[in-house]
Amino acid sequence: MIVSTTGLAWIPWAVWSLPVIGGLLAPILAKMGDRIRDWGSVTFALISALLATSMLSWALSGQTVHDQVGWFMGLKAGVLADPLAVLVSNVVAWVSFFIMVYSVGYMHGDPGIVRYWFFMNFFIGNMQLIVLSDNLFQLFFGWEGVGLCSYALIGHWYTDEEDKWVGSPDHYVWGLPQAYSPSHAGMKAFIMTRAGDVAMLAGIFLIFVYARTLTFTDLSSNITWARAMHSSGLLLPAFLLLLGGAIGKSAQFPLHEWLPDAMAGPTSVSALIHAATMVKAGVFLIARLAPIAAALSLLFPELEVFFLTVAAIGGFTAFLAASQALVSVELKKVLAYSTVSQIGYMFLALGASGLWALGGGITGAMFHLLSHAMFKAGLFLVAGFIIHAVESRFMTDMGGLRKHMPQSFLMFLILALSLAGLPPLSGFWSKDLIISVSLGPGGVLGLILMFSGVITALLTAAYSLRMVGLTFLGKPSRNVEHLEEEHVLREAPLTIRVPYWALALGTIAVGLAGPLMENSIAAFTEGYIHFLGVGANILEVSPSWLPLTSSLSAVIIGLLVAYPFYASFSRTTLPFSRGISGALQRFLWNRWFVNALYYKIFVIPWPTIIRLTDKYVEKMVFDNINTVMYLAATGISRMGISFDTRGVDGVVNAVPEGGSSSSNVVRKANTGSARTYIYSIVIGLLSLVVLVTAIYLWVI
Amino acid sequence: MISVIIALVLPMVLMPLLVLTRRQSVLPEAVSTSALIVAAVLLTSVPSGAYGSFQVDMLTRFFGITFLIVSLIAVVGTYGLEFNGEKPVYYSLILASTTGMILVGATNDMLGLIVSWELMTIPTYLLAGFLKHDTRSNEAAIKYFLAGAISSAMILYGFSLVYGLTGETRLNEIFVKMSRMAFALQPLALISGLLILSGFAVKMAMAPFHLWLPDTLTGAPPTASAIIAGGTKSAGFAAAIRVLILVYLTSRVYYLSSSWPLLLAIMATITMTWGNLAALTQRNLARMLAFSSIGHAGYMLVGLAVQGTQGALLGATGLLLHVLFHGVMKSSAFAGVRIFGYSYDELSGFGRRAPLPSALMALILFSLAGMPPFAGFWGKLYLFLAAIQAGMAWLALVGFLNSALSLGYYGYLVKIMFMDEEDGRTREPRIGRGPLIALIIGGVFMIIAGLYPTPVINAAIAAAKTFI
Amino acid sequence: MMVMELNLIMVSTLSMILFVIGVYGLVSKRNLLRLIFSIEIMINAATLNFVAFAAYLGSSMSVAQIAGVIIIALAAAEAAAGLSLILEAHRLRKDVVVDQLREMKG
Repeated sequence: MIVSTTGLAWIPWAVWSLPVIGGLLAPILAKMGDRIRDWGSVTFALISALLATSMLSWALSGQTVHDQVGWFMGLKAGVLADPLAVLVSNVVAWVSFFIMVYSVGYMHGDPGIVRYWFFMNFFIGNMQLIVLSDNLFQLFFGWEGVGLCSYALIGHWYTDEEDKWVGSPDHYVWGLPQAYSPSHAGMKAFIMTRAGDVAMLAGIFLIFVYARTLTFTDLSSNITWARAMHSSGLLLPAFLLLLGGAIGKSAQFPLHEWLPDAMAGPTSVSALIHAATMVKAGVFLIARLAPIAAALSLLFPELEVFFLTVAAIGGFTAFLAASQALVSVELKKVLAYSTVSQIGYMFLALGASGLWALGGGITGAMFHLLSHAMFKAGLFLVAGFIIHAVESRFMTDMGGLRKHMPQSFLMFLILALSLAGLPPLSGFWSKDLIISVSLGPGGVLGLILMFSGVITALLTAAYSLRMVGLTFLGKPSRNVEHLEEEHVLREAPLTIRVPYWALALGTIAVGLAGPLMENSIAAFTEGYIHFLGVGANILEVSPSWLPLTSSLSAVIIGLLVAYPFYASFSRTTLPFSRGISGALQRFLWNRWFVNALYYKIFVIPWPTIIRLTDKYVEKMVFDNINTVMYLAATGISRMGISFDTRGVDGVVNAVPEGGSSSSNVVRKANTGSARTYIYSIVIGLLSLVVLVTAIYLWVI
Repeated sequence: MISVIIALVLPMVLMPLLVLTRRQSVLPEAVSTSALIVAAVLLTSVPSGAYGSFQVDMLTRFFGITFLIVSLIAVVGTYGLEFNGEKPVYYSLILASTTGMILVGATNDMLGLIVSWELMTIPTYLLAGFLKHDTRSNEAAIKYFLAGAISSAMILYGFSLVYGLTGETRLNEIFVKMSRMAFALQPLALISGLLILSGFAVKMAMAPFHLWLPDTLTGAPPTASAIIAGGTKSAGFAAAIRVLILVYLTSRVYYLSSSWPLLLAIMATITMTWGNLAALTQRNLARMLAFSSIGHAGYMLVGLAVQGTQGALLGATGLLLHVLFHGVMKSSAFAGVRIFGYSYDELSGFGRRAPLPSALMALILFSLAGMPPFAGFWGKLYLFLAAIQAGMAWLALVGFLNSALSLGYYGYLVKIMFMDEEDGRTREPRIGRGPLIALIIGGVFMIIAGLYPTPVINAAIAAAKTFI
Repeated sequence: MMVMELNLIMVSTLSMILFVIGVYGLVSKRNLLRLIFSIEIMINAATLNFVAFAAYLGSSMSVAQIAGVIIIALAAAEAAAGLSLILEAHRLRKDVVVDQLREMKG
């Protein structure tokens, strides 16, 4: 049911524009005092969050608010507050509000604080723009906006001090260093996500060329565009191109390598952008397209390939990243790999949504998005505080911190167990739903997808506990002992503690109300599909015992295996053990060699190419052209010179110089650039004649 | 139309008399600024119709307003320069050149075009060489003069051939006769077209006719560069629209219609690639802007290349939009050179010393790169869409890749201004009010037209329909 | 007085030769003044064309005459501007050789 509540349509507009305005005001607020600067920026996020909450009432009553204004070229700008958007919008708004509060304490005294507030608020606004926009093009604006903020915030510490780097300094793969400066990491993220964005833009273009509209409601209500695209064989490519944008933004294989290195940014940024919100934009995009694509796949079965790709990428990425998290020694990098892995779960669910369980798949993805946003943001916030406290990003410099910061330990444990998927925390319910959805009606494909989810769950449980063990339990490391002597380890201040308290309690609350929560998100999804779906009629799967038991046992096995190794006594992963397990460890430690491979292929050749271009093209070709032209011209002119030097030159030079420089004219024989310009015009004219003749002959 | 010309020519003729007076105060600034504004108001109210060799239609108005805005930014950007007491002459020359540009955009006759072309060009030679004791300025002017004079000669010879082929000077009549031309004479028509194209290409900065441009823009006084890069270049495209599209691209001469779109598409590819590649390693602000201007000429050529095909209207709209946006961006950026200086070495961390001008410059640079939501995006969007519509998707791809490439050097400057640390060589911000206002005009225009482009696009479509 | 019969082909060939001579001068000469001369020759080729074609076509002689006069005037204006710049160049550099203008490049 669409409600044109024009009186209330300003709310979605305000939800995304207020933080943008807040960001733009940051430099002005900064002039009015430090407290106003910090809390003023937070206030904008809070108002936006409150307005987002007020939209929940529409979603709960199954209403959708859709408001449009004319933009250009027949395209309309608009907001679409349907249940899906409202749900994600609330997640974004509240998580970002808590992180903004945390930032007040965490970024205290940072010299770039104004820039920080500007980009944070600007980011929130653009993220809400993605969520609330009613068409693909406007969504792309927000998409690029968050990309820009991500780039700027990863490189926030652009001065590149050694302690802000990411990666182990002595780690080399194929002679390539695996530690990156914040600027480098920012550029890496920018370029890798841009690769996806180019694909996405191309996809949007294609759809626009055929549909002449990009509004989601128009795309779903009239599908002649899909028919036309299908007949020219472009339907599947267009969706796959859009998927390219999604996997770039959400750091899925093969564009996943930027996210672990994006951890060079401030931890609050990692929490907000690289865990809770921006990287979910890809998930959101697929969820937006899923009902349309699913309905179309009934008419055009080729689209099942699209969903299959989504599911395969998700399942594989989940396993790939989780395996790397097992061996990582940096606290934030564990969390980053884990983020990639958990987003893989969401892609798995979305892929399954189009294959067999539309409602269940989207519900699973959205539920996991919600619970992951909470526990992962919380984990990052605690991690940020710990890294700050022990002055090192390596878990080998931690250990035994429990007695110094008991509250942080408790919260970290709860959040980590939620990540591990232990009942009754929120992560359990959402992960279980995804695993059961991915099984679908069974069959080989379902079993494969489910197995990737289950094995990942096992790994997730293991690395979660390993992470807790290495940081809080076990023997204190030398670094911690040193800090203990100085008596500098203490519990976090209030502005830092409250946000992760709130997020941990949230994950418990959602966990306790798990089935209830699942039902309400399912209701949201249903409303959304009914609103946007093209009369899709896709069978849902009934719950079965297999997924539940296998995922639960995977979690327990994972926890049990990891416990003796890491929780009861501290142990680092280095140096490597020998034999097969050592080789495996090294393989994972070297990020499956994918990162190094990308550098070999895409990064290293460039300086060489540039050098070669400089050497051969610049030096040889252009210089020689000059020389050849010069020789040709002097050759021609020499014939003339002998004829008219004495006669005409004498008169000519007499005008400015009294005839004394006639010899000068002949002697000066170096190529001046002004001459080249004249040649170029003449040669240009001749080449136009040649070119047009060639084209003419070719056309004939 | 007469009223517009009088509004510009009267102050242009009278202002140099002020050189005789000892104290000029701000009279030249005030007079020339108000003359431009009055001319703009008059231009919008002049009724449509033919006025001798010139005609007033939507295209005339669109180009006229474009040139007036460009000149206004240049005039405003010149505020505060004294030029050894010859200030009134400088403003007078700007007005003269502007009159010429407006007439180029309004012409419907070869002779009218020749006269207005020279009226536009000759003052800019003198503007470029205005700093008499500066060898660079003189060098810039002479290089510009040589290129410009050759271009004039080629255009004249081309026109003489056209006259010989058709016996007409009116463009409409020429179009009619061209369309009925005997097959044997068609190669000659082609030669005449190539000569005229080459002549315009020098002004448009189409590769390889563009080599003079970077040197001229680097050596000339910054606001003269603004006129040359933002004004005369656009006037080159105005002339191309008036003459080339009518006479060559849409006439049904087989030799022409079969080969020109591809020819222009190839030239567009070469031009944008050459310009952007050359700009990539510049460390001189004016040179970078100049090569970027060449790159933009390549994008605009896409709009010419699609004429006579399916994408004609889209391409013409994009071309007009891009002419307007590029003119505004380039003129305000060149006015900004007065604040920023030339060398990148002096700009590390400049963003912290002069936040407002640097932010505005960054905005204009991003707009030049074609990043949404700034205005520069729309022109490119229409041009690339037109290329796709015309069945030249490869050209759109080339343009798109070039845009990505160009982000490299625009972003590099932004990085230097905002990310790098200040050091001993960083400039002291001496912010003249004039260039700052010029930057503000350009920046605000880019934002407003970027977020709400509908009126501009509608005007461009209306103007494009006059010749499609 | 006997007038030699000039036909169109001859005149237009002459104008083409003039134009080519101008181009030749442009690429071969180094003296700025001679470059200006070359350009003037090219422009005069165009004028000659106009007049010749008008005589051949017979109809709109006045247009061609107007064109001729306008072109001569414009060429003069252009030469004036160019010469003033060259005068300045001579004052600055004591020479008017095009090769000296190499301060800006790249």
